[in-house]
This record gives sequence, structure tokens and C-alpha cells, in this order.
Amino acid sequence: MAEKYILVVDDDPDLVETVAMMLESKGCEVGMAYDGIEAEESIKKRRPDLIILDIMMPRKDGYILCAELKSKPQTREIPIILLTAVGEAVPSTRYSHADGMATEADDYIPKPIDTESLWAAVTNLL
Amino acid sequence: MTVQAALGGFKILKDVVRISVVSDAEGFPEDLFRRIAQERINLPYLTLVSDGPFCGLNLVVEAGDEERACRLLTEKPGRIFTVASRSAVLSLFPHKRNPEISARLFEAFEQQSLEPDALANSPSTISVVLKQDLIDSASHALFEPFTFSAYQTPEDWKLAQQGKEKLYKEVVASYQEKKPKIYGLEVYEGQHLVQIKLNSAKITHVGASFRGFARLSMHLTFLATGPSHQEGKRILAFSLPASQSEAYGRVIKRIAPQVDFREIPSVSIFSMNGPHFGDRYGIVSELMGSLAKRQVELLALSCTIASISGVVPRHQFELALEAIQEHFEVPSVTRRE
Repeated sequence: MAEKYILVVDDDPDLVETVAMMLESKGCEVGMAYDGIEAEESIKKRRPDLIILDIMMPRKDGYILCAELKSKPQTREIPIILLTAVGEAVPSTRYSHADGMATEADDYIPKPIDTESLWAAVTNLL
Repeated sequence: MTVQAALGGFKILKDVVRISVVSDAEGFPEDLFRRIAQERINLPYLTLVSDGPFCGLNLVVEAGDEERACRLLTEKPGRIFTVASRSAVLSLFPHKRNPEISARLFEAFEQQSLEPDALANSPSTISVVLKQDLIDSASHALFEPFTFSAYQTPEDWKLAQQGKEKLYKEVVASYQEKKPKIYGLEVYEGQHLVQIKLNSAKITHVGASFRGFARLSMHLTFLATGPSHQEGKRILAFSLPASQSEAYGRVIKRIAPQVDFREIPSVSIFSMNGPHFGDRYGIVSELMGSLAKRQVELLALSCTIASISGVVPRHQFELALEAIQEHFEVPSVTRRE
């Protein structure tokens, strides 16, 4: 997986660190962003090979960013893995697994994530 | 002029209360945390630093939980030194275990005459507890040594802070696993725990030695402060690689020759994080109970953001790991030197 640049976006800095360390241990280069706006800036500066994107984030959430990236020709082909919340247990929120599946994301992983399942999803898309 | 360091960002948790307590009673911390969990009081920030037979805690609770938390503490044989209402926690990330980031933070605070009441690291974040009135000055001070790609000025940062508190609470409430799941457990072996007892010396001043650790390319694997049983003193505890003990000892003596420091050799540091651990009550009680059951000596602990980091004697680490695996779902254990 050398040379692959993956952008990890989540507002939980400890989770970003955990995922980044896992990806770096597999030979990936990792960029980090902590909300949707910062991710957008990061993508403008350097196009990632894949994005791991949380949904519930301040400023711009993962759904909106995913939809925007998938609507633009320059970014449409970037694979996106959404990290969904525990939505099945929270019926009033729109941040559910089902909502995650309904987006144009290439894959989704429910939280709490298992880093090995996440890596399997990454290798499947790269 | 020093080049600014690029960081991801910072978060501020307002309207909290810091409580400092010390006790040498047997079973003190685990009994206390069990009671706190039974009362469903969340601890968004916690440090424990052992000082011989004494155990010093810095707890942070939400303002609405202050009365109940203080009642529990007075019922226990703990001695409350401080109850600081109107406190706040500022968390800066990511530090990448680079002591340079801590050093820059301390220097920026010292320039503004800001002294943290308490501090602790998670694997990604440095969290500082301050009086809430100082938070504006503290957040402004960060823009001297650091840049943040998402915001250029303190005003940009303020505009970016639009919470989704209600939704977060709903999501947090939905985590009711019998056995809490963590994302992974990371272990640093071959470490020494350094404890510096601060009298009148400021944390920010002693923190200048962290720049010396950075020059020697050391990784800072643990950092926390706790109250000492000697009134007016506090303890700054951190861990560094055992293989570099001579070098860091020289740095500390050169920069802060007056400080009283001691080393606890051969310790292991573990860090674990899980979903919304910073927002859920009962997590630390689960950990403390599991370690106490196996009679693991907990030398220091820090809980901030969504992580728990602990320091145990190296010879007890496997026992600690068994205890953690019994009480938490641990998908992977990553060992580092």
C-alpha cells in the first residue's frame, strides 16, 4: 500500500490518531482533518487516494462533504468510506447506518469501528 | 523568530468544575469511582498521580454535578484541597508525542502569565484546565506558536464553534454495551516515569525542559499533573524512554536545578480510546475496578478527550492487560518501545 495517501476526517482527535497509526503501520501516508471545512481545504491542497470520513462533525458534516465531493468531476472518483454513528439506537437522528448507505459513499463502517475491518474496506477500494 | 508549528485545532469545554483531592485510604480511588459511576456523573477529565502511599486526583465534572460530586468526596476519607468552579478545559491537537508541542504551549502561556491549574495528555491531545475567565487569553495565546489550517485567527475559531450538543447526547446515551468496546490498546514499554514536585515553581517554567527533550528526539508518552499531599505543592508526572534517562536527567537539572524530581524505573504505559469515552460515565470505574481486582499498582492515570492512559510497573503489565481484556472488548494490542 506504499505511496497511497489517505485523508482521515473526524472531530475526535484520538480516533484520528488511532486510525492514522494503523494506516501508517500498513505503509500509507496519512493526512488528518477535524471537520468538513478543514477536509475540504486539505483536499484542495492535495488530492487523496481515499477518504475516511466521519458523519457527525461541526461546521460541515460528512454527508454534505461526501455529496459535494461526489458531485464534482475533479473529486468524484475519490473513494470515500463513511464512519456512521450508532444511529439504529437513536431514531431521531439522521446519522444512521441506513442514511450512510443511502449516500454516494463507496463504503460505510459503523462505529465503534474495528480497525481491521476498516483496513479491509480500505484495501478493497484501493 | 521561531517558525510556527502547524496543528489540527483545539477544543474548549466550558462550565466545568475542577476538584483536587488527596487520600491515603485503602481502596480510595476505586471506591470513589464506583460511587461516581453509580451516580451517573461523567468525568470529562481526570488525572491520578500516586505519591508514595497517597493518591492525588484532579477531577473535572460538569457544573450541574458539582454538589453531588463534592458530597461523594466528603463521604469518602478524601481530603479536598480545591473546588474550582467556573473552570474550562482547553485541548490542543495533535501533539504526535512531540515534547516540542508541549514546550511551545507552556512558553506561550508563560508569556501571557497564564498558569494551568492542571494538565494531561491523551495520545493525540494536550488538555489544560484553566479558570474559565482565562480561556479567551489562552485561546489567543495559541495563535503565536501555532497555526491551524481550519482557522487563521481566534475570531475564525470562534465562528467555527457551532455545537451539536443535543445530538451528541442522544448518541452517547445509546452506548450501553455491557462490555465497552475500545478501538485498540497501545502499549509503550521500556519507559521511566518522572515525577517533579512543584513548590512555587510554575508548570510553564519547568515545561521549558520539554524543548530539551524534543531536541533529543524523545517521545513524550505520558503527561499529567496531580495534587500532592503536601499542601500547596503539585506533581508533574511524565514518561520518557528508559534508555535516555541520563540525557533527560541532565536536561531537567540544567533547566530547573531547584526542582525535586524522582524517577520510577521500568514502567509500561497503556493508552486506550473508545467512542465518546469523554462523554460517558462509568468507563474509568470499570478500568479501576478491573485493575484493583488483580492488585495492579496504578502509578498514574490520565483521562481526557476520548482516551485513558495509564502507567503501571512493567512487571505488572501483563496482569493489567488481562484485567483490561476481561472488562473491555479489545480488538488489538500494539506494542511499542
